[in-house]
Amino acid sequence: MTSLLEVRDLGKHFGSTIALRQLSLEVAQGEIRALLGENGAGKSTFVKLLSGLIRPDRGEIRLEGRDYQPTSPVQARERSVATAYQELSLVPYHDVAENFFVGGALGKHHVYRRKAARASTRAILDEFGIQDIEVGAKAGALSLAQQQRLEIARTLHSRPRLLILDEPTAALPDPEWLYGYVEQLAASGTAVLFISHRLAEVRRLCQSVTVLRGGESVYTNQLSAVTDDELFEAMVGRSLGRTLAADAVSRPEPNRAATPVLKVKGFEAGEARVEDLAVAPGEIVGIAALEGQGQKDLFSGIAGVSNRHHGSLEIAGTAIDGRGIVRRLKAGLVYVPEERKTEGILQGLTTEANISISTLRDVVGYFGLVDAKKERERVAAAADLVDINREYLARPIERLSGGNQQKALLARALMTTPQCLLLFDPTRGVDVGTKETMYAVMERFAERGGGILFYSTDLQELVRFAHRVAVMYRGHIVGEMKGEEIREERLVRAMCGYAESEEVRANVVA
Amino acid sequence: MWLRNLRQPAVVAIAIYILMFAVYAGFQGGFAVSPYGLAILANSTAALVFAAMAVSVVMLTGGFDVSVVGIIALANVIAASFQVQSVPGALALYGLVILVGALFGLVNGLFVAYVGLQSIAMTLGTMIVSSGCALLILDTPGGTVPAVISYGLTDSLGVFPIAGIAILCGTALLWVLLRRTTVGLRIYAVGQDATAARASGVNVPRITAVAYVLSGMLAATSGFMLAAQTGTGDPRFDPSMLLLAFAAAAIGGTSFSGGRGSIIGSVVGAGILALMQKTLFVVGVSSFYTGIFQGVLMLVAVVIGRFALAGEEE
Repeated sequence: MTSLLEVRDLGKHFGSTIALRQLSLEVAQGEIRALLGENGAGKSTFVKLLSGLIRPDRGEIRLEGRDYQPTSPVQARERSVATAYQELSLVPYHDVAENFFVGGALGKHHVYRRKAARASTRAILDEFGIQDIEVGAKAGALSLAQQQRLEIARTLHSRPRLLILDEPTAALPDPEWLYGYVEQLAASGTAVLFISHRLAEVRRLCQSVTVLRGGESVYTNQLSAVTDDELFEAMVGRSLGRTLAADAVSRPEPNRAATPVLKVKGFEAGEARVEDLAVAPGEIVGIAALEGQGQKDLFSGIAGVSNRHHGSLEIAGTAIDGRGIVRRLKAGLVYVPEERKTEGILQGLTTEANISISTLRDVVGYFGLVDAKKERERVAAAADLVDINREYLARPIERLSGGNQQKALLARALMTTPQCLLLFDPTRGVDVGTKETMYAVMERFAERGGGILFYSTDLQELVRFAHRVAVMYRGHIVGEMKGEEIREERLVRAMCGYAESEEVRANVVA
Repeated sequence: MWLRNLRQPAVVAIAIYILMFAVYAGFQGGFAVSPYGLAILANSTAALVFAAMAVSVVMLTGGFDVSVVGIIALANVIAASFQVQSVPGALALYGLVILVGALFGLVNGLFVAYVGLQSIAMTLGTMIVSSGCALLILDTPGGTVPAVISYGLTDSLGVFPIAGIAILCGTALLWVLLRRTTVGLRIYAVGQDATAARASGVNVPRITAVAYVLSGMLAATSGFMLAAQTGTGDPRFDPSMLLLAFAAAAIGGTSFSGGRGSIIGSVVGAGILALMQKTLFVVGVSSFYTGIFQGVLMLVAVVIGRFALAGEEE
């Protein structure tokens, strides 16, 4: 086998932050290589370098034996390198077909013929088995999972020599969809870099693996020759034994007799129709659902951010009417949304300011001015709680890795001293280490009497953490499982609409 | 479907225009719809229309081009400085004016797109430079625009005013460019999300520069139309023209944050502002009130646009 991609001693820094220290790897034609590593290990930087979005400080990249130094994605495409980005690269107000044409994903054109463009886009989507996306729909109006499939289809369609998939399955409820197409491309000689935090997926799709840690490539091997434990060790430098042991610890049962921290009845928001759902103090309730089953509407309805809800909503005994985040904050509920980039972080502000923004009123001192010292102390304490390195606090938040941004958002939420946490897919696209931190924070929060309602696309997470899981299907809750009953295969069944009993099914149909 | 169209700012603007024209014609009687009346209206609208197109194209990329008025002044004095006699001569003069506009646009584009200057800062500079150049060519208002231009462009072809035809052709050309070519798609894409556009394979700097060049050419056209209408050269740039051009874009629903809007909206917006001056005059409202009416109208249009947008996103 000949190497399609050769990378030697690649280095890149941003200001004083070293993003890549020394990365070297070789990928052969037709090889599907997994790229693993914690947040901040340098994966995203590497992807950006290969795609021509940024340029390296030093090091060498060779593609098909020739020097490769792209200065823009246009040049990357000319060398047949295509990337499906984790943060997605769709233009929101252009429709699906226009998104295919805008960057020349459908060859060079100068005249845009709408009908023809839509027809060829339709044909491409059909080729990739994407039936539920209208070519005339604005990309920004699609669900995250749909956008992700679109991004991937656009990338695969160009049949690149080097295919880079950055967390392609983060928002995909059914990653199997992707594998066939990727394998097909690899069989034709394409080299694939596949980045994912889910080991099961990596094992299913990839032949080999390279682990990055601290900006260096620390480990490369065939996947068949390495155990999960060894991979985790290479990634985080500690063994998984400790975290598995944490599972065995029995958690205190929630106090179901007390006033629930969150209670909805006859609740309607957007597509969501939830008859009855309550979260007791100390309870972690999971929501499981395939994409677009109304879970997003349920969360934003409860959080009061977009859709006006109907029906009753009580937060720690306080009835809430209408929209508005502030009154929910006062009642004790805080929401950590799905889209970090657009709904969560405040770009341009420091991490510190991002964490304290919701609770600034608590640190106002003389003359209505912010007491900077007090603010710093409180933020530092919150940062420790979610395991953010204090050095990061003074940096603009957009310079932090996705995982650290997510931790910062969680710290912001916790600073409001809520009684109920609303988390929408909190671990999407974050690394193992961050996940463990978030789990620890969630458990501690519940142990102290807080309630958590969280949606996750990672079923193992629900199995591991939730006291109770409610399964949503077409806007309704169609099943509920408790404790030992929560198993992945049962969740999947319910999520696909196979109701546990005829009675529940009857409810859904009615 | 047609109900959805009603939410489009451009459609709202067209409705306002028709309504206002009805009022105008009601007070003016038959003169308003006579060839001469139509020609007067078209002549007083044309310069603002092209100025509005010029600022809109750059607004779509998420930038602001304030050099438009400087280029207008420069184009105006150039048109008043060459005594051409024939139609080919007039076309050559127009070519020269367009070239000058494109050059200033190119300078704007290169510095904004490749050097990374902020658009307002850069175009403020070129606005001052271009109006300075205008003063070099003609140091006081005066001079005569060749008759072939000042009569030719303000006349009528049958019942159709030539300035009106120019407006329609310019609008149609720009619409096709923005909506039916990949360059247009990319201009919108850059304004919506430059990062995503770049990652999708759009050459963002080049597209940005193209938008500024277009804007310069449209501004030059505006200056040429202004010269035809006034028949004389004036090196002073007109700040109210700049503000009205941005107001026209806002009325037409072009977003100040880029990526959204329609050229037709901006054109009709400019038409509304020009027609409003006429309407207030014929209704008998003192011209001192014109600004108030124009401003309020713009705010109303922006508020309507805001609600239309909210409806679309629901």
